[in-house]
Amino acid sequence: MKLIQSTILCFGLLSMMVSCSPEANNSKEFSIDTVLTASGPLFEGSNTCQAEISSNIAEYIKENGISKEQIVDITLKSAAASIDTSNLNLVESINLQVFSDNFPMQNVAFANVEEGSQKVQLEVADVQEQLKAILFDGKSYIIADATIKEDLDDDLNLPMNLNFSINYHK
Amino acid sequence: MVLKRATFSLIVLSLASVGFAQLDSNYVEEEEDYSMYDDVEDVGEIKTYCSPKIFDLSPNRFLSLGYDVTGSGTLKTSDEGAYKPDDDVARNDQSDLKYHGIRINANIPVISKSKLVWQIGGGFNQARIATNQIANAGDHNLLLDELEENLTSINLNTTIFKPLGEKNFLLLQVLAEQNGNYTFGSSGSSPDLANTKYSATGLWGKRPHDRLQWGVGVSRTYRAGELNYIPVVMYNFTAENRKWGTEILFPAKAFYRRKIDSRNILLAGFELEGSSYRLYNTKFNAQNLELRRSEIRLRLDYQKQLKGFIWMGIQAGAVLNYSYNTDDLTATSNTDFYRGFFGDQTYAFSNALSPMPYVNLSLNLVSK
Amino acid sequence: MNNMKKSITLVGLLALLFTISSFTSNPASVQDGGDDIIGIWEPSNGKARVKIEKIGSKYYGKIVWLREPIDPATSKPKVDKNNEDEKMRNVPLRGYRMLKDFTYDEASKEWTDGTIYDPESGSLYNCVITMKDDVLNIRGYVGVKALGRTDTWKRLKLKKKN
Repeated sequence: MKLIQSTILCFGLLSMMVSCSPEANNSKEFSIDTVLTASGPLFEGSNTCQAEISSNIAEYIKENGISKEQIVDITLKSAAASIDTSNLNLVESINLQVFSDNFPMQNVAFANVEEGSQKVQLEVADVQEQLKAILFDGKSYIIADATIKEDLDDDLNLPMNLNFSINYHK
Repeated sequence: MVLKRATFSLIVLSLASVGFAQLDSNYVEEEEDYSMYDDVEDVGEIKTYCSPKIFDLSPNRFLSLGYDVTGSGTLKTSDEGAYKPDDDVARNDQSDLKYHGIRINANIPVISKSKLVWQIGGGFNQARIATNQIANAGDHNLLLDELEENLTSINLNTTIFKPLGEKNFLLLQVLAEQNGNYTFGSSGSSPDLANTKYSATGLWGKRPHDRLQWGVGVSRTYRAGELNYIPVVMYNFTAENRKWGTEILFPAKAFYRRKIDSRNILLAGFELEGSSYRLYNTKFNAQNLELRRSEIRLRLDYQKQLKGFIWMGIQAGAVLNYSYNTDDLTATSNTDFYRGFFGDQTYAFSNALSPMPYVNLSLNLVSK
Repeated sequence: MNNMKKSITLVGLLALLFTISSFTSNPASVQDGGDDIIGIWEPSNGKARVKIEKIGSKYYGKIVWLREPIDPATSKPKVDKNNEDEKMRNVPLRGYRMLKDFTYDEASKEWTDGTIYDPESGSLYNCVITMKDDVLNIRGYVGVKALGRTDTWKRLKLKKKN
């Protein structure tokens, strides 16, 4: 009987370890607008558009009376890309990734681009980890791997609007 | 033309560098025509070997912590005597029997490279048996006393996978195990190394493509309860649509695999489990008793990823008891003997255990 | 013809100087042997070719070629259909970064702290890389290095187009 109890306890503890995390009871929106650029000429296939994030998230939370310690996590709620009229029908898909010097690269959003779309709403990943650490790190970067249908002599610019939710507890 | 290309490269370099400078001077990113990767030549030299896996096999378990529990079955036993395998034996005494126990198994790679995989493993598996004693049932009760000491199996094993090129491979597994109703405390009996049982399987196989792996070989095994030498056939297959497949190492196990998705797998089939267990310090005349225990576990096995490489397994099914007879090794100077399927050496007890339901839960650290 | 050759050499030299000067803006990139890993590599199963490059101070490997680019089940280009995140299962495999976040450890001559992604199973393994004679030993592991498997990758170079 003791053995059964210990086994149940072990399973219980393990599932708690897997599922437990501190809970946030407040959230605040924070957005970043940036332009991701791949320098041309570009070739058919996956090309990397990139930008360094100059996020002022530290100032933003200070203005809103939130300390970094109160923040439980930060999640990307939406990501939208604009496609220049000259590049319509060129971009097939956009895969958005963020990382920093000290934290690993995360795939955070993806979209297959419909023909003729000027505004692309990316589907945001369900699994997002360490965004808080990345955004607060010294240097953070956004990369969009854009698959294009044909060669392009010019740069490819993807203006991107990212909306984050800062989830914190009071 | 060449000059144009060189000039163009310089311009590209300049543009790229300017572009990066606006963003981050550390970037060393350039774009390329993907078709150029079609036409390449080797600089480094490596040899290609076939992989030990195929697509979508159920995950390989590095560590497994499990708990196994059965419902009640009926154990019918004979009196102590000499019973030939084909004898029609009167088993007049019977009791209910069930068991539960933990199962801890580890399988750690020592070498795991393309050209050789060598793993060492160990296991601790216990069946804590509960029975209802029948008053004045003589030999039957004495046997139950032995079983209620619990059956423990500790094993060490090693597996070597040696690819013989891109399509063929050799698989060798050796296992040493100590099985019996022993304990490690001051009360009861300690295991005796002289009773160690050795099993081995050697198999030659082919892996024609990523969805098929088959092989043939021979095995010295105790899975049927007593020592046996049998041919074995491996047939691991995954269908082209990647939704189903088989995991077969016949006669040890045969499963139909259904992939719900890459993190949820359902297996249906059977596994033959068994070994020969030494019964220590018996109150019978015979003092070198070996319980030839073997069961066919018919089951549904659901394996699910919990997080990362932690998976859980839930098995439910029936234990069909193939053998529960007992041999006395006194006549062979306490060394094991080979009866096989056709030998007529006698058993000291002729027993039978009815089918019983069972459930097994496990937490596993896996590699896919 | 000679003049043309001279011009090419000059342009080449200029390009080289320019490249070197832009690299020197990041001294770390030339001080150690970390950049030796940059290039095109093929795993021992020959199913893919991976281009390893440096972004920021870390190394990343992107699938640039697949032996079987079309998924027989869908007759479309292969995508990351085993990703544990359902919403990321349409990301194309060609162009996918399967090696991520490696940093070079000068003392041990290893590329460490990175991960390798196996698109076949959707599993992400810790990974450490060593290199010898244009062959990479790529060890993917679960938690501790002992629980892993090493694959060898060979360096490739692009054939010059005539």
